[in-house]
Amino acid sequence: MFFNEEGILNIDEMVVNNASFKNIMEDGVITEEEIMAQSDKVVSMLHDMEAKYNEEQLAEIKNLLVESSVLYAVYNFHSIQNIDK
Amino acid sequence: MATFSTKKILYGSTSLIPTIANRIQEDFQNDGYEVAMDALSSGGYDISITKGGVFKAVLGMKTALKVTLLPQGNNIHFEAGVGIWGQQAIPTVISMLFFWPVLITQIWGLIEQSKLDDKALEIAQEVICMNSHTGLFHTATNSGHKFCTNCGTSVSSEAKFCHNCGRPV
Repeated sequence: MFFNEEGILNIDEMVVNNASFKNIMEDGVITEEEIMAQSDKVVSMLHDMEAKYNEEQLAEIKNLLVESSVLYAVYNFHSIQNIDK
Repeated sequence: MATFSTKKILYGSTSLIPTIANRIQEDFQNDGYEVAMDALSSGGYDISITKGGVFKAVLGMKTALKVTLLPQGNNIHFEAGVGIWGQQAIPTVISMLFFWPVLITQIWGLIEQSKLDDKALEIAQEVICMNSHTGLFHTATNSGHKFCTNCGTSVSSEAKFCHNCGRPV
């Protein structure tokens, strides 16, 4: 589900096939309203999950979100550290 | 940016860069890889190496092993990393993908596992080694000495056998 045959994460394919992405990218211009709407969608999904899942499931989702965000943050910090190296 | 890469300074003449680039291209093509090469204005070369089924396409752009050879003083800067086929930098749209750090580490893992970076480095070192031996041979013969091709010991240019290992020279 998450990985292709070589074991590589399929996230970019999920992104390009996602209805929200297609809709936002349709005219080639991304507006602030579209970003706001997408942000609201993410927040709303998190609220729905809070209501729907038990504590254990929520802890797993939270863990994934935090660990992914940590990776993204440290990767970008590392990039900044290595500018002009 | 080359976060995950193999970097090395190769102690060889910068005039060897085109020869190294051509050898890398030939060897990888012989192994069934697609190879694209760009001569840079700095005198360096940017080489893209890819193969379907090995390198994943991200947002429709083919990823590749990128080998860069750049003159650095009198030596050669060798760098092998993950990049996009035919492009000198990873497009911003890809690097801003939230999970790009996962993808780049996974693709780099595959490159390391199949030792493609090592293979490119070995080719570069081999070209330099072959050329430096030729240089040594010329220097040695001019000074009345030559080197044993088996053990590298300096012997007289008139010697028929190496005094160290006994092999014919």
